[in-house]
Amino acid sequence: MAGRHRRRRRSTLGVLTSRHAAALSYDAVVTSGGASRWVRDAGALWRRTPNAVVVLADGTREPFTLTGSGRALWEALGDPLDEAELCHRLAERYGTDEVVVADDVRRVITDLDRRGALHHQP
Amino acid sequence: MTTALAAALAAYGLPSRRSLPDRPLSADHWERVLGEARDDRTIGLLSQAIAEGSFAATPEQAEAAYDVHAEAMGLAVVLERVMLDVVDLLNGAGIDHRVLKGSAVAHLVYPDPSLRPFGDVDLLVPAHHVDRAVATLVDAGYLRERPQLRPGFDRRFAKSVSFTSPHGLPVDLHRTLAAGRFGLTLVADDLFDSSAVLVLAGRRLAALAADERFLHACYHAALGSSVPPVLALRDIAQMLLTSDVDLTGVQRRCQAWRGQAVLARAVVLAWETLALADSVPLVVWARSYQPSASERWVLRAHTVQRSGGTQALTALAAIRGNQDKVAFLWAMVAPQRAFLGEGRARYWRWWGRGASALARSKRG
Repeated sequence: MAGRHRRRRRSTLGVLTSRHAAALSYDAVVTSGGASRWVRDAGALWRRTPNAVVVLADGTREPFTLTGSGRALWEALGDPLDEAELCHRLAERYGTDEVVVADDVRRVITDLDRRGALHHQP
Repeated sequence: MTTALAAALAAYGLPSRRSLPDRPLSADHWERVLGEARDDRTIGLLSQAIAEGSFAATPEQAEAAYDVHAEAMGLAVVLERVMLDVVDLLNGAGIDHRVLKGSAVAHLVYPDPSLRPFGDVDLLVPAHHVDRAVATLVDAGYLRERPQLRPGFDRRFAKSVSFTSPHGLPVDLHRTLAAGRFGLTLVADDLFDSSAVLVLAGRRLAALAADERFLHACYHAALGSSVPPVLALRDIAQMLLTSDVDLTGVQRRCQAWRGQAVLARAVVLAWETLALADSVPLVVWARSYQPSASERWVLRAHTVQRSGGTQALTALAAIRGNQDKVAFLWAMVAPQRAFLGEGRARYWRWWGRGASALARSKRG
């Protein structure tokens, strides 16, 4: 139905276990070497609520919702940043280690890119 | 009726004497308030008030408010996508336009557009392009809600034409800002003299300039319904207290449009309903304004009687030239068959409503 949107599973830093963090830190290190940058696609329409961001990617009709670290990531993506910088921003915000947030950053970036909500700057 | 709490919510963040609950509401009361905030489109203000600790709520109540807010924001972005589609169509046809109401007010008046939900797409087109704009949308698959009263009525007398987009969302193409007399005395061409830039999805759109945007909010609040929507009143206060409305320019424009009674009613309603503490010169003027007997009659047609027939009667006096008066009356008396639909009974109902409106108007 128009105006309805699916609520995505919450993406919060608190649910990460140390096993997840350790396993995914390797990916984060590899990606940061590429230094490609991400920024919100200018064609995306979006709004914020106190605990979420609602996004409609360009050329789509179905909004999606980002919560937790996904919301924080979207806010940070107003500036072009690579994954390492994004990890640094989020880690700083949540008072944790960059390695711990790398999983969320990678997952949300992949998802936003798949949805066409990001612009990639090589 | 606007409840005190609904008004307090609409006034949130402004210097109002109204207060919000300092302890969580009971489950029943909360459900009513949440439903009201959804319907009044004050859910963004409710969410913000809860998040800032100004409206006491349990964690569950806060979560429910945020969910409803997210739903309203989902609708807002989908509507903005539809608006961009319509703008593309109008640009493709070379038709000038201005973005009205919801999206423009949300982005240009509020500190965060997330505070200002809306429920449809509103665009203004010049009167002489209305027929072509309507045809452009119909050709693109937009479904016109109702045929015009008679050929040529849209471009000469109508306030707006309503459509449903191919994705099922409401779109209004406006010729002017109000129905009836006030909509006809308003010089719609003035609305295209200037514009404000609305940046949306990386694109630059033309919206009404600040003064005309303010006047439109006043026309909407004062004439749109018998109980003025609290969000429309909030829009007025928000514009007067926080944005660059040129009060001299507004009053000059309003005088030329013969809309002072509308402006005065809207401003007084906003200040009284929201119980705003700060006064501004326009409020002082509005409180002292005495509408003429004729203005009172027209205002009653919009706010008390609320019948299309009575509003049409008020419009007649504002139509210039006998030929146009006759065309207008003929459209009222004998609408085309497509407008009324099949069956002779529909004609009788149409005339019956007109006769009742006339009788009520005489009594009023």
